[in-house]
Amino acid sequence: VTSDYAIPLTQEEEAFREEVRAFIADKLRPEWIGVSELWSRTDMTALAGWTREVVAKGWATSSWPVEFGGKRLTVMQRYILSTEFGRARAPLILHINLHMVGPLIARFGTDWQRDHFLPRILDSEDFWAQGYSEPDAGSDLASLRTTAVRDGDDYIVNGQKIWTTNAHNSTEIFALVRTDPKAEKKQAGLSILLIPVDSEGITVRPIRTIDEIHHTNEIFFSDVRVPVSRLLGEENKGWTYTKLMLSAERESVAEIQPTRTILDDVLAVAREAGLFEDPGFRRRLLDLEFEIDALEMLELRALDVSVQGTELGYEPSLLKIQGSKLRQDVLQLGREALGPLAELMPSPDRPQIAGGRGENILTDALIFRAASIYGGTNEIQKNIVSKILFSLDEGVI
Amino acid sequence: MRTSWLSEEQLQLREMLNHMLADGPVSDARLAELGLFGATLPTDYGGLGFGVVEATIIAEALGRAKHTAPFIETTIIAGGLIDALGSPSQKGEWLPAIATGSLRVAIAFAEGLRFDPLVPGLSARCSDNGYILDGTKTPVVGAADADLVLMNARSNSGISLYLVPTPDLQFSPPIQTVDGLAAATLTLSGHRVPPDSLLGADGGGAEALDDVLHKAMVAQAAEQTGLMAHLIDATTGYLKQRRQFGVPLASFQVLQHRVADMLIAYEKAAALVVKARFAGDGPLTPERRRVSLQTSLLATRAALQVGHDAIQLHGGMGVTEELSIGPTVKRIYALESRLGAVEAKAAKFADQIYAA
Repeated sequence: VTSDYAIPLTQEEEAFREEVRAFIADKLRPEWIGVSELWSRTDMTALAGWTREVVAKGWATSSWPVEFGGKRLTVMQRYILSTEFGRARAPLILHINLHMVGPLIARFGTDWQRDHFLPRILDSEDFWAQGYSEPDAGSDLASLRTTAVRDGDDYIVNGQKIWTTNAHNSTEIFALVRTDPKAEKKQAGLSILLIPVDSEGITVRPIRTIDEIHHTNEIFFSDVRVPVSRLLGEENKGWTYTKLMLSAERESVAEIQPTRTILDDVLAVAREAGLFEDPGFRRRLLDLEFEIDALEMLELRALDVSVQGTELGYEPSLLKIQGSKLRQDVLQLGREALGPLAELMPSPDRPQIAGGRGENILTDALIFRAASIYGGTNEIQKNIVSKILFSLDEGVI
Repeated sequence: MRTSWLSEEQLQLREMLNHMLADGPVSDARLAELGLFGATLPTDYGGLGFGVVEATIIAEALGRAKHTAPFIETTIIAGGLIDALGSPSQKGEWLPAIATGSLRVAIAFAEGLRFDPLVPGLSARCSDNGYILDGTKTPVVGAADADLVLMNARSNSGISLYLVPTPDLQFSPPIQTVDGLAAATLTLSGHRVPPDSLLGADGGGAEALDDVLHKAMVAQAAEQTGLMAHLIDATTGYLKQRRQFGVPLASFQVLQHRVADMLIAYEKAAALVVKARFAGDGPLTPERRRVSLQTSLLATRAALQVGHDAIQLHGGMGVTEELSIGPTVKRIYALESRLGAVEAKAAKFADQIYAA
């Protein structure tokens, strides 16, 4: 019995964990540790380098069609991977590349698209950004207005995308655009284009976020010519593809291990601040630990349901709501633990706490207010939960 | 949350119970026929030999049906302690009778404002022929229906457990509990009990008691999830059917979100019950302590939240005895304190684990 996992590991799982640990010891370079373990920290070299290693090992492509993909992973193997990678503070896997656009091209792309893009994705040569949201199309995504008009062998794209995270580090963007403005349902006239970020007519403008770190952008399209060969799958099927893509890996949205990592930092700060002496603080700490444990088990169950092939219902929404809430609660506690230093923005001259482990708490606390907004706001998630709940004939199981 | 990791037999047990209890509580005799009161008792003594998985399945089903059968008291706590500590003759006398449902045991751990089973106020001392008990136990829930009372006492050598036949005891007139059971105050003043009423060694009850109470916490959490499931189903059903301003209440977003919050609370508790199943019922390791406590804590909080929201969303009808909502919330209130306040247990636990 391994007590540091939510449920006991079998012998095979123990062996897998040892394999993962050996892999980490062998491949995770010291300079990659702790520099990109949350999306709020972006070290492209670390992200690409680590992703390359994990892809080569076959552990990053289990959501790809079999002929392209790596090893199929069991629920527990996926759980062990994310836990061990998280504990080692390894960089994230390039999520948009490997879990979003990669599987989509593998499944629906043309031969040329597969031959051209997939090796570059698997080798972390290209960095993809996603172009969904627009200034007037957030939660109501299908009302987006960026247009692509056919002109010979090209589409001409005009419009604007927003919240394009990491576009300034990306080489390609897959954008959901309107190809048929006359379609009866607004969802029906949308297509996905695979667009080079350095295309003529594209302007990337940084958006200043409250943590004062450059994460995200607006991206303007002005008569951008995109060859028809870069239309993903069929024209006007963009909404279907998008839904398929967003439904993949939805059971992992809670991002538990990174939250535990942050909690470890908060604990280190709290210890140094002497807060373990305070019964009230101890109590809140315990509550948070227990809530995270509950969320972890909730995720494990969702993973299990999903791997069994049963369609997920409200589970991803629950995980998203709860996962974002706990991330925010942990960071709030972290700010409190920092006491008077909590107001200091990052600076080389800021007093160092707990060997530097407090240094990201403030900026993370600021940027992760977005955790309950991106990927569908928690309010939208609650709409989804209640809609499913009201539709259950036999009640909750 | 959809269940996973259950065996075929366990799934069948769950289905059978939910089917049988679909229309609400059945008689305790009917539960006894199925052997439920012997669920976790050893097969050698007429039990079914089940573990924590089946115990939680049963408790959850009882909760869904708003059943107040003394499964946790008689089977998990009393049965568990007799099994762990009893002599062969004590086991032979009592376990088969518990398993058939013919013997009921009331638990006398609470002592007025105090519930601290490992530090009881009741004192026990040896005498020539047995033990002499002094102190007060209250409330003793189910005293009037019980054949035996299980009580914990402090002797010179530690915590001792006694099983005493109810006819030998002096109870106050019955006092109704919030969930409709009959409790009583038990006053013991120089009360003499025979040597064979002692369970296990004199002063040697603490470890088994601690272990069984953690099992009871998990079973109770399962019952709480069952109660919540009932409340959520009843509330969603009501919101769909009740119309105001010409539309169903379910169409109001503020109510939709409230229901979503109820579900989140429930699902977290249900997930922890599954985790507690994995933690098993082997030795009481620090891990099992932690899992039992967190399961109990989140289930108790969730049950209160879901209960209060269910009342709120039913409007005035929620505070009546005419619907099942009120009585279900009253059961939730009863469970909140029946095994001791879990919030206090959590505070103590936090003090221990974060002590520098």
